[in-house]
Amino acid sequence: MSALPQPGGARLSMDLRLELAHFTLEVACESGARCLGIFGPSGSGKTSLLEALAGWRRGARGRAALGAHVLFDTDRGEALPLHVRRVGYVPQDALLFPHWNVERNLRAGMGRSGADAENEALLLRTVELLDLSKLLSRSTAALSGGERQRVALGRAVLSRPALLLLDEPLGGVDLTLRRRILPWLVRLRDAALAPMVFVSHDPTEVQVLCDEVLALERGTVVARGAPGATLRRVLSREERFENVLEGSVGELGLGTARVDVGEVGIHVTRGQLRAGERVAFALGSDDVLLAREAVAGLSARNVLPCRVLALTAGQGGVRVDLHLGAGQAVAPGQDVPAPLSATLTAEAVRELCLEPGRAAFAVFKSSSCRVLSPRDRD
Amino acid sequence: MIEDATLDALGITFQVALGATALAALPGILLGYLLARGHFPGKSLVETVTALPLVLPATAIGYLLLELFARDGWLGPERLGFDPGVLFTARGATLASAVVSFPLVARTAREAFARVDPRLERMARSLGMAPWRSFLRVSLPLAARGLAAALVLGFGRALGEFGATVIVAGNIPGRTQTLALAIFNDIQLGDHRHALQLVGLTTLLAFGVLWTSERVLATGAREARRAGEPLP
Repeated sequence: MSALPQPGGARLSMDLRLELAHFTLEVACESGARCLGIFGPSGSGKTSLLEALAGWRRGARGRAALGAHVLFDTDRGEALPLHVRRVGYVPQDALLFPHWNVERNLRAGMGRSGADAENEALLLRTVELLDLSKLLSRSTAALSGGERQRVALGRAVLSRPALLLLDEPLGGVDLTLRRRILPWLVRLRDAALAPMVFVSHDPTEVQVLCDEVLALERGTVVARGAPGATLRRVLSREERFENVLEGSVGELGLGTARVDVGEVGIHVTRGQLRAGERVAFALGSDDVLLAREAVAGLSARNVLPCRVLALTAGQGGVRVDLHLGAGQAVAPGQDVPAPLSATLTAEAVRELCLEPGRAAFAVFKSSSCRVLSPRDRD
Repeated sequence: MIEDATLDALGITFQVALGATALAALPGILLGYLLARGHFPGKSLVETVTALPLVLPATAIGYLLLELFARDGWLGPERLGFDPGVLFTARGATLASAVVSFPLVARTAREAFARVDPRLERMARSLGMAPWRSFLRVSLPLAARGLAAALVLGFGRALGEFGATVIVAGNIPGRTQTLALAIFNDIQLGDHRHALQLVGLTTLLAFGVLWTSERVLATGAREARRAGEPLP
């Protein structure tokens, strides 16, 4: 597939201004991420940013480019027309063509030369990747929310975009389904067909999918960096945090599997995991206990040395940000290989004398870790 | 028993109305799209001018066409160097009916396109379709039912056209005399029995056209509803 855009070297750079009704959107960044997350509350300008990149919204000033492929540069009076911009856009409502069935929708961006072998190979691969084979002859009206999103994703990928924009592709879908579609997005990212920009207000999704995150607030970038650290910084008033950790499956036990996250081995429910594969799993901060010493005789499979990075007081408790491993203390805000947050009561924090830099042990059950992987489709 | 003259009038009526609809269809649909989607200076002026034939007396339009195609008119034989054969011919009747039908076609087409989600068109273009391909493959099929209604309306208007036709094409039995003109003729001549016969025929014709178009549109709606139901 030599004609496919090679995103490896193409870095996304943007420096744009857009007047919105209540504030000005201003984003300047350059990123080589496979998937760049745009995180923020609703109304922070996330969708407007994508629409400006896609060329769906007039009035954006500045420049945006993917490597040498300049989307627009208003200083030089350049703006690529939509049909040669090569930006695949998946909006929240999927926007499937209602007069076509699923297959015709998928082929919409393949052009009239749709019959050549390379295109057909990409079609087969995408259909397999997104598990669409059973849907091909269906009418779009007969699709569920999750299926619509997968078709819209496939259609965008098949138009061979240089950049893929995903606007809350899991937005209109209930939580169970969101967790089921997420692995498809991971597969899409790993297939590296085009770099992705992923808009979401769900911290779990952003952590699973993105290599880098821009946090937006009223049109301004308030934080940027690795997903875990950036989200912890932005969500500084919330005592609860959904930890997402990623690693490779090591030893398989009877009921659990060890996942190696950096140098730390974490036991999770074995399920259908296979040794050697990469997995991500989520662990609510409520499910993590802290102990001053390594307690023995516990049923919990994970008793891991850790070090406190920061404490954040919320309304219902205290969020303790840690990093796993027995290593040296790290300055707060710095990226760490295995970050973890625990939610404790203020009393517990006082009793354990927790403060930044202190060593402790994190305790949690293997079954509290919810694996998010393509085959975990229950 | 239907007389030959009546059959002639019936044939001419159909020929003129179909021809007028065909003539108004392409410019009407294109202008409708332009008015629904385009942003250009003077757009409201174009909208008003387009609506003008709806409001003007048809006789006024007929008179303007007569002047336009007169011997020394802007499109007359002297200026063109040949006779375009419009005045007092079926071709003239068709042209006059087309001009009168045009605003109905264009305005109904505008509404049909306005009901198509413009984001679907943007999506088509983001997927790599050039503007004209997105028009043909997305806008046109999605507006199809409204456009069909536009053509039916245009056809219906042409079917009953009188004022402009009588001035441009005259009232020549067997050549330019449509049913509408024949009825007028009979009333003038005091042949009320024949006039009534023609009115009956015209009513039947109009009923048939409307019935068919309603059926076509209703079938479309049923299919759209069926497509909305989840498959078993």
